[in-house]
Amino acid sequence: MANETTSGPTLETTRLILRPHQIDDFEACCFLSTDIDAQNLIPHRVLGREQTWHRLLGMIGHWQIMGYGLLLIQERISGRVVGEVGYAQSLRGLGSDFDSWPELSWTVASDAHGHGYPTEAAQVMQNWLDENFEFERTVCMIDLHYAAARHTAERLGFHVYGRDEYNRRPVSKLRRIRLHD
Amino acid sequence: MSREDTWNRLLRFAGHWSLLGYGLLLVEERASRRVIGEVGIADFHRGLGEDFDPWPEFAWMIASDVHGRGFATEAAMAILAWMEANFAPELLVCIIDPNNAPSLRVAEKLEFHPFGEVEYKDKPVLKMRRFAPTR
Repeated sequence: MANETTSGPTLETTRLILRPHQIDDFEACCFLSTDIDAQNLIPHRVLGREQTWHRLLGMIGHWQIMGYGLLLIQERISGRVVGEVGYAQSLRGLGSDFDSWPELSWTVASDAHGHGYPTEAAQVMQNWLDENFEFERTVCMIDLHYAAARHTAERLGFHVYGRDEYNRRPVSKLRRIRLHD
Repeated sequence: MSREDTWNRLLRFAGHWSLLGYGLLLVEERASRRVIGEVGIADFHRGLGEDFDPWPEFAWMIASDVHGRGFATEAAMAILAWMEANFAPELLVCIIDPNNAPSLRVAEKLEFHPFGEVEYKDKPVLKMRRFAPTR
């Protein structure tokens, strides 16, 4: 039923497999939703099963409508779903300098922190987007107090260019300008 | 609903079709070509109990300026017939605000019957169900 153009690619790194969400991933997504420390971004709250289901459906819909989106991160050695990474048009209301561009986000389960998974996963996702789309800019929103996530974003070539509030939390707005060779 | 929430809703409706093979459709008025609502059947995982959540849920929404013309029933009949032909669910459910008389009338016309009341997002709602017509 699903094919690569509508549901997303499967990408592999040394330690991780990135693949599209499927219906059987619902429980794994619910588990991630209860892991507050996994939510390096906003909203910093536990999502219920209903919201997690909505989110799962939205991920799949985003690939269909926009041709890019978020993928699940599976750890090769354990076979376990440890997070999500990818780009979305999220219309957060953070201004046209933000909302108009694909936004990078990632989540990694708190018990899989410290292995550099976000950078490894985001890097392969970034390469995929650059190969398949011509966006001259991508953006990223990070909690002002979350230094580790900002370092990850900076390693990926993002730079802070502004501040805003999202869900009543102060956030940094970051952008990455694509370099043409 | 904010633009962000509306966008997320649109994305998940697209995702629902591709994941489950059924879902919600937009309702367009032929005469004006205007989108006047939504109708369809979805799995919403609302957490309303074992007598509700496992069953496909019927839902509809029609713009207030075209109420009273029977569009909801007309659209609902079409998607119900499609659902029966393609999935033949033995039971469908829906929730309705007990104070919304026009919606209750639509549900009754479609042969939904109330079977319980419950709170959803701090509001009382009527749980209704509809058994498949006998063939």
